[in-house]
Amino acid sequence: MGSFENLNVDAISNLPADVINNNILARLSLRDAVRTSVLSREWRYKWTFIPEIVFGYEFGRAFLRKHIERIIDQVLSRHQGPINKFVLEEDLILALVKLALMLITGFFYYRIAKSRTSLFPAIFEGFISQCVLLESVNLDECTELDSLEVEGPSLRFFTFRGVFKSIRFKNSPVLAQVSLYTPVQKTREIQLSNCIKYFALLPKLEKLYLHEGLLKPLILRQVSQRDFILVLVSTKMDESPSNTTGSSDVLSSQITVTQLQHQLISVKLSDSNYLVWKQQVLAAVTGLGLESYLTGSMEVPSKLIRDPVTKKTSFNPAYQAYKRQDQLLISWLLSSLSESVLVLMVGLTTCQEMWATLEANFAAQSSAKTMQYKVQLQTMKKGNLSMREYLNKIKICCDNLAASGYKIEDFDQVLHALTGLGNEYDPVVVTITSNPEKWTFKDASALLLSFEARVDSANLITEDGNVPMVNVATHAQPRRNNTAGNFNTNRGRGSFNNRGGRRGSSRGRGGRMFGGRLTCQICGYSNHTADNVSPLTSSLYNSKNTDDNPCQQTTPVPSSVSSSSQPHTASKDTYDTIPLAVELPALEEPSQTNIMPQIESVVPNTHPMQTRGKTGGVPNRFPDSFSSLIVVDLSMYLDSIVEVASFLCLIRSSPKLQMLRVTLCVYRIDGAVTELLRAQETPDRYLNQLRRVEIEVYTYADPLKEFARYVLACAARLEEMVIYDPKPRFSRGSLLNLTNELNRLPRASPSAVIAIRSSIIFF
Amino acid sequence: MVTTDEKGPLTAKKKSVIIRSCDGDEFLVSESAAVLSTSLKKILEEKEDRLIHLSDIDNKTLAMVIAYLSTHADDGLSDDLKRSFDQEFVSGKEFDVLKYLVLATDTLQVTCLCYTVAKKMADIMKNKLVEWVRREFDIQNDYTPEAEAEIRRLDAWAWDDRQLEDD
Repeated sequence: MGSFENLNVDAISNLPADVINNNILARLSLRDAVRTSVLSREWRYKWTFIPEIVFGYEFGRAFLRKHIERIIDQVLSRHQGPINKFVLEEDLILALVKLALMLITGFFYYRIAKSRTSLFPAIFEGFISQCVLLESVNLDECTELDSLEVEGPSLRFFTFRGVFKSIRFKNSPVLAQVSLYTPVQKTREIQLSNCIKYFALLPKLEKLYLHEGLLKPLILRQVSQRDFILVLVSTKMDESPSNTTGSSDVLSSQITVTQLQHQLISVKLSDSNYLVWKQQVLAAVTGLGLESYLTGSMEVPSKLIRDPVTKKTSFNPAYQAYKRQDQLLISWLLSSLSESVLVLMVGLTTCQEMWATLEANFAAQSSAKTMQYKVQLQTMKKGNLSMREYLNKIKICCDNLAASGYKIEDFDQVLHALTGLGNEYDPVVVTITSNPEKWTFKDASALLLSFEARVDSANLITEDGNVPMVNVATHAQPRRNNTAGNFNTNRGRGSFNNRGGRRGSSRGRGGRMFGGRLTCQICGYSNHTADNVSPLTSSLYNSKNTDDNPCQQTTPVPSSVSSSSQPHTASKDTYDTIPLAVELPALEEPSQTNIMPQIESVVPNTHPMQTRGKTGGVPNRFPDSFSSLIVVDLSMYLDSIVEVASFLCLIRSSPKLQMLRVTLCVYRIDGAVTELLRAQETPDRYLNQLRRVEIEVYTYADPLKEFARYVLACAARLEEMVIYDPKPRFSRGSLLNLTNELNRLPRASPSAVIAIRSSIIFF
Repeated sequence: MVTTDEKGPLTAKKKSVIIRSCDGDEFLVSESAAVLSTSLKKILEEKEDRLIHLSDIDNKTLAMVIAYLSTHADDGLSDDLKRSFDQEFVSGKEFDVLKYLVLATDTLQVTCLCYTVAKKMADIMKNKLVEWVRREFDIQNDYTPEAEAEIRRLDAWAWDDRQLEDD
């Protein structure tokens, strides 16, 4: 029988290790797999390499519960290979604690302190963050948790069913899907508003599911009975030494990776530095003789080789070595990419593919970018930027150009800087251009900065009799890390300016005016002032991204700042006498804001005053938007304005939202909620990308209509709205009525289709 | 078992491949079926002629694998039919046959068949006494009685033999 004859020693022992481990043993129950260790010496350790460890449901039944923790400890301590999947299908929080400790420290514990359950949150927190490869966490029926902190560098999926008082996410840069289900009796404790503020820290969030238990009793029961507590993917990093073949090749590749790890790359590839990065990588890789892996000039060994003499096919050790080296190189390359570039690499399995993809993306991008930077450099104007900011912009532009291969000479940089200056800087321009050779960018910067200071103080002195109270926004602070409290800035700075202005001594922030140019107190643009900002624009300002909107500057405001309330409606002729501090009374803060930059609720100008304060401290939107969130699925109580405000906050912070699924569960709608929803009815950028809305109704017609009205009015690209009535509450007649009414509602997207589905079929 | 001398000319559409087993018999396989095997696919991409010699797969095993590949390459069949074919395919086969199948599928890298067969093999071993497995697969017990007892003691939880079968 061919070349398998030698296997006939016995029927199974000599199958290749990976066949036995990955295929046969992995299909056995854990108990059967462990028992194979007694078959013979050969089998002693085979089971310890199985890739999946499942403590199944029957496991808990068959053995005494009190032993189970010890058993789990035993199994894990014997296991040697990588674990791709770890499942506990029992209500085993205690076991989990030990497991966590064990994975962290590499040891296992037989005894922990008495109050073990209270240990859990702290341990769990550290535990996840230690598992650097952990991708998916699924916690089920966790009733012991007060607060839960989730953290994991590779974490992509997080599911939680159970009760918690608070949940926090941090350092989870790639978390893409969050699902939270809480049982109904605790529903009102865990309000949407208490949870969602933490989601703002998740830059990659794509799907968000928030539900309260009883609404979906069936689904929940199905899931929770069969589901498991914890699934860990790839928790162990250590590789099994005995799985490798071709030892000499393997050895050499391991040497290579050690060397690679020492080849530091000082830059991470981002959008602007491809050429620099490429140079460094190529140098390092070529130095190690591995460049053929990148360029694809290397011939990939096939998995099988044929002996030319005997015509026999067998495994190719060279392939395995190649594969290992390739993967090592990949991991090294990936570590030198910035996050935005990593996205491009998803799904690519070989170095060559990665290299080609990068080349294709950045070669074109580089030339386009170069042009963009050149144009930017030539057209850059100082405008009302501070000198420091303006010079920095020039510098960054030049640096980017240099990174793309176009070095701008030092003096050219100076010239570019001079070109964008206004008339008031003519003396400096003359000075510098009269003797161009001796000026470096640094010297010129120093001169310009000191000249700016002179101009500022001169302006103040000349206007001293008529103190400039106007808050000319000069935005000297960095614009990142802003919070939603747009008006806070103005409040804080406003008071500062006022004081400074009255004393007439402060030349910094406030009263700087060039050529009598007025600058808007809200947005910092110079061609209008706050009094002629249209209501729509000013409400848009509240929604704009922090990047492009200078209005959204917030510095943490000490609560002691005075809160004299001045509406944003001062007319132009009062400018010189009335401080234009735009202020809102400080709304009550949610108690746990310590991890977030300070957020205060801000109601846009256009809103009636009385809706303020009722939103219970929910911010208008989050400081950082969820730039990748596309699916939101949540349940909402329409009778609570806090819930609705939280919902709106979430929506406003999700510019890419495409699919929205809402379970509405309330019987009547609060007047304030109606008001709040109606106030939103402008087709704006909030729901711009929304294609599909599903509304599941546990409510009567009025709240539903209000909500549908809001969505229809706002979503400009809506394709379909499906209303689902699972209970069903509506008779056929009222359904028809409802359909008619909904169809009559004004809508931003003319092509939107409204469909109503009921679980009862009417004849 | 189709034997043929026709070697598809290079200019013609690449429709079928000839696979020769270690016993020397040749099988005509449509290319769409052959590429379901990752290894064959790779060979086909590199090699010019349409004859592939598999030196460690015998007639019987190869015929089974090819039957499987052809069924799964058939677009006319629904997924349900294919699934029931899989069930049928492994049922009633001797452990020996399965062993060669799993080796062949591993060599040829036919993942889904490898999975199905390994599952079947695992099912055979499921809930069986160690003694039964040793007997059935001719595994020589080379432990001393003391060593074996020691191992059993280590993982005592796995040795609750009450529900295990010995037939």
